[in-house]
Amino acid sequence: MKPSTLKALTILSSMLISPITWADKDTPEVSDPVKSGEYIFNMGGCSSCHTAKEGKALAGGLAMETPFGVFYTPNITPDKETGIGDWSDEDFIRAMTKGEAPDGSHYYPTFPYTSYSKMSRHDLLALKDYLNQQTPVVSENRPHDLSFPFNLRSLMGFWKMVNFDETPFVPDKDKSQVWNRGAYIVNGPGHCGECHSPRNLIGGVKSEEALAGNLEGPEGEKVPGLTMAKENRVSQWSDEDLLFSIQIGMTPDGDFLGGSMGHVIENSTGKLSQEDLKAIIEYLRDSES
Amino acid sequence: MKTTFNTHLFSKQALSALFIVGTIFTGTVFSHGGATGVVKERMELMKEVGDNMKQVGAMVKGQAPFDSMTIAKNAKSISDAGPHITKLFPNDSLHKPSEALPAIWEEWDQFSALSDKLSDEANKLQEVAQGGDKRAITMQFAKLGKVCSGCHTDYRKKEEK
Ligand code: HEC
Ligand code: HEC
Ligand code: HEC
Repeated sequence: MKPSTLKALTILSSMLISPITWADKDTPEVSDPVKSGEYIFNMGGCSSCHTAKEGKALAGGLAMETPFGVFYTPNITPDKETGIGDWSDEDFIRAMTKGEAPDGSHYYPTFPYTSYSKMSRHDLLALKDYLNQQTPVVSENRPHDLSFPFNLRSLMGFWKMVNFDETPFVPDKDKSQVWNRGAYIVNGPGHCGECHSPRNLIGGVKSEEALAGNLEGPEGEKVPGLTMAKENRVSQWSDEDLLFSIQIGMTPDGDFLGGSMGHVIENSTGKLSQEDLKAIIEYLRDSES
Repeated sequence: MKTTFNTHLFSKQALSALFIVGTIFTGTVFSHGGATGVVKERMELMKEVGDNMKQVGAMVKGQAPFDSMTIAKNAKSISDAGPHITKLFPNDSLHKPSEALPAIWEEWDQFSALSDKLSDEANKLQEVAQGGDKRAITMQFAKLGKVCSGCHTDYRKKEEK
């Protein structure tokens, strides 16, 4: 190895030792429940949807355009009247893992509870603690503007029977701990498959083609595949290339990712530790499909 | 009711199937997807700053020897490109295969502020590169990249080429 290469590698490894090098932030204090809740909150990318462009943090109101109509995200600040400040821990866990509101009605899958249902109880409680610490904002939820019959929430009960697999995340004993960590992040809080997997006729993720890419992604975006099939360009990328792409958005040709992935990088993957990003990559290199 | 529901979605599905067939046939023979005029010009400008970032990125990644002079040179090219960006986005220049979004002209002030910011952050990269502190260079490189992805997040929608 040439000395110059060695030097460059030293810089890289000094970056690897301190997590969140790019994020101008301190290492998350895992022992502090609110700090670890913040980390999980970032992993879940909640701000991408619950904070509108010019709006107050987590007060909702972001318009999500879909073929079924426009959804407006709700206020998830701890305000007791208009946010979720009145919710018990169990209400929160039920919403995140069953897609059910405290009154028993069904959520629409534009709220990716379909992935969050894989999150551990421990992580969800830390997340709830973190949300409780945020500034409450008084802001009434704006009703969705959906066409018939999608405006009928009860229809979602049927949708769930067909499309929702509510089994919790189960580690694969034949795989390494790192791989399992990656599987947890990708399929749970990171909800990568919500955009990167194709959907069936009624909008459910096709689990047998997980992460195969989606020509009809959110807002009409073409979402590239993340499996190592040779038609996906990530299969040609090195581990560093992959790391860079999800950490700062740069692809090996010097281009920068944008669109909804820009929000994912800004709010979520760009804030994760090197260890977790490497776990994601290890899983992508060797996922089932 | 269920019929409307299915038909609607079916046509979307059929459309995307056609789309796949379309992309197979068009392939990637033309660079920049056969763009012409101002769209081609700005794609070329973007491609150039992409090449600048690629060179610096290779050093930060450890795939090329670290050389602060080369970094400074590439940073200067990016900084020089900044003022040209807005000129290459005349009103509603959206013809195919442009990936630009109409929001550019609805939020022109923000769009042009981002092109200014590109030059500012590239200037800073040039400065820190001359200082030679690798960690500082790495951090500033990431900051500059944030401007690229920030603009691509709000004003560009990737199309399959
Ligand atoms: C892709 C966009 C998206 C993301 C990401 C997202 N949500 Fe939501 N969320 C929604 C939408 C849309 C609804 C409303 C669903 C409905 O009305 O059926 C919702 C509803 C909720 C609700 C129910 C609120 C109520 O008043 O009933 C909670 C709680 C919630 N989200 C928490 C979270 C948390 C915590 C995260 C991050 C881990 C998160 N969401 C990430 C889109 C999103
Ligand atoms: C909200 C939708 C969404 C979510 C969630 C999402 N992505 Fe993406 N992703 C995209 C889009 C859209 C692109 C294409 C962006 C572009 O080219 O500018 C993309 C591109 C990528 C790329 C580059 C692939 C290529 O061939 O260019 C990688 C790698 C990636 N995403 C990884 C992830 C991982 C890992 C996760 C989960 C932690 C994730 N994405 C979650 C929408 C999403
Ligand atoms: C002020 C907004 C803005 C900034 C800043 C910006 N870009 Fe772009 N970029 C765009 C838009 C818009 C397009 C799509 C142009 C089109 O298709 O008409 C684009 C397209 C591209 C392309 C694709 C060109 C092609 O061949 O189609 C590359 C590569 C690229 N940008 C790289 C970069 C890099 C690297 C940076 C940062 C150093 C950057 N851009 C900064 C707005 C921006």
